[in-house]
Amino acid sequence: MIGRLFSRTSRSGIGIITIALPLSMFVILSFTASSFFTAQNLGNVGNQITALLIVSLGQLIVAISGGVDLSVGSMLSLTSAIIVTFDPAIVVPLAIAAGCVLGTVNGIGVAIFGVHPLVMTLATATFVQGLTLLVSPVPGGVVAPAIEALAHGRLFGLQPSLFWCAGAILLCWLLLSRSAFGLRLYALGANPRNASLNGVKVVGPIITCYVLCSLSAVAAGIFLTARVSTGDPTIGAAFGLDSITAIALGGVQLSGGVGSVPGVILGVVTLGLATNGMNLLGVSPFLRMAATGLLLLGAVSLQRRKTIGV
Amino acid sequence: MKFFRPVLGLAMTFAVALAPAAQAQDEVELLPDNLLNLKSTEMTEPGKFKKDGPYRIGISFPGVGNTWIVQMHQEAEFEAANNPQVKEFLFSEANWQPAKQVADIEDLLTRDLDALVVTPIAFQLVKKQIDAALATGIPVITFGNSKGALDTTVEIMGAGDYFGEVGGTFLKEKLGGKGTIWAFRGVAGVEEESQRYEGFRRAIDGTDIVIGAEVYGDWNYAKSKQLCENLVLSGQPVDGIWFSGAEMTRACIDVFTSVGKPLVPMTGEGNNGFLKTWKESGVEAVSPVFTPGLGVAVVRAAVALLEGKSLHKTYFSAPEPMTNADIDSYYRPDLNDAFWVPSTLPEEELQKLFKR
Repeated sequence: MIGRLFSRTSRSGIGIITIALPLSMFVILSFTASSFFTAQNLGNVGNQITALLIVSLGQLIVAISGGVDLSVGSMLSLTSAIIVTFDPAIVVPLAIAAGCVLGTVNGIGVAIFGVHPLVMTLATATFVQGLTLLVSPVPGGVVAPAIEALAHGRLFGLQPSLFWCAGAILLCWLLLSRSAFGLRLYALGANPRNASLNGVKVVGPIITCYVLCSLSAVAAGIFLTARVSTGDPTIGAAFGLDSITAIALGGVQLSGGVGSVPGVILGVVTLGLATNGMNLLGVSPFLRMAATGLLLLGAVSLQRRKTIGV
Repeated sequence: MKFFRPVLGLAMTFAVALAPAAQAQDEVELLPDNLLNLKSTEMTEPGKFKKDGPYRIGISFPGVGNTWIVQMHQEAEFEAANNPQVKEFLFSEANWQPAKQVADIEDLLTRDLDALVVTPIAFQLVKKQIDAALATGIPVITFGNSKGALDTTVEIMGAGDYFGEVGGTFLKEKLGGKGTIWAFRGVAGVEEESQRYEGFRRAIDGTDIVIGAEVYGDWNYAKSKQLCENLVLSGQPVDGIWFSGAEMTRACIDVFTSVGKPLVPMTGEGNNGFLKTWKESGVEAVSPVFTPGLGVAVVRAAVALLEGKSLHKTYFSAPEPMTNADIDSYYRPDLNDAFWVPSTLPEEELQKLFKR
């Protein structure tokens, strides 16, 4: 199993760096930051990475198909605005419907009209962000207790964020590794023309990818809004690029066909530990961005690019 | 005194009394009285947070995207480094990401802090984390004007409404109550920005002034220059411009000058770069004073609370604004454009950090 994961023909994208980075950060922080290895801090890290993990798993689905979705951040913000603006009874279905519409528009633009995914999703991201500011121009509003409970309290003595992570991981893994859809997606991402000539449909799966990605942003938006107990029209602003950074750290190849759920988990944990570690170590705010950039540059540079199906 | 009314309005809004008469004899001076001139009558309980020093103080700030924030951070760091009662000063910034600010506060709270200072991106957003911090028994200082949204130990900030209202009142008077104004706002969704804009709108309410264009320049020179170029080249009429920050004013004056368009009345801020442009261009302007020394005030407030001293519950900075007649007394030609006035840093430090 492990041998297969690292083999040259593996489509997981997981390399030594993908695993070594979070592991070494964990060890270093355990020795250098006295408050790192405490239940409170580790619980914090779990809560902090949940929304990013959910969005990154959605981004993974699109990336495997050879695309990218920059609109996830705006969708997350729109979900937050919807939750605090409309009747609590309809906010979740409304957010899901909005996610489906956005994903379908992105998918149609990319798969039918041939718009480059970066351009298509950047355009819809801008539109949705504007719409979000119209729905809720300033932060605030009250989250219904039923939704708030989704991120607070304890279930079987465990934090709700653990269940969100487990649910998202399981769904994504089943979809990519245990379904025909996942198999087709890897084929499409690796070489869409070859896949098409072999009878794999292109349009439907690509649209489905974008819908699933938008729905992951909706789920992350529900969790995040419940966690902070209020709405914010810009709460998702950083998630577009952060999710791409996380999957890149996790060995996912942005040209398509290579990537895995374990890789994304490792990438998200790496980012989460970097942020947490720099806070605990009191790194200068001016050095933090540079350090995060160097981390990404180093990790991506040290990963070999794979070519599948040639 | 033409700016007295907004100050009075603000004072009534916060139900505070103008301070000097009510000051206790052992008043802690966080900043000179002319800079922190609006104080509540309500005081914190003396000795409530008293403990032996030196202290570990943490601050969660929204981001470090402009020169005012950089100087505020430098002034706060300088104060902390030179105060023997501060053993560690932890400054975290959230890169303007609400979710990251929540995480930052959670991380800071694991550091066994003696006091926490928070400048919320949005007040409701961090309420749970602030409540958690208060529950541990440490003092929490809001570096912002929450208008009752947060029940922290002390609140300190420039008065956002007043800032906006000063500019709005100036333009109303200059335009004789009619004309077209452009509004350059800061970062969308940030509370301080909304408060400045509300103050501005309140000042022009009931006049015949219309807002011809409203854009978000993010308090950023480069972005505002592009926006102003677009507006100028579109030929839209403009009789005056309100700005939520002076980096944007400087950008727009540069655009007007480069295309040869006559300058219209504009609002600025106490930034040396703006003061230089103001002096050279001769533009009719007014500048609300927003001192980066507020960073020092929050450090001093944290130390004072931990030493058991009593502070006012709220401190707001609403000093008299600068006008064309005041430029020479504030402008420092020997310092660079990133310098903001008035500063608490000693001259030696100013020369080291801002020498042109």
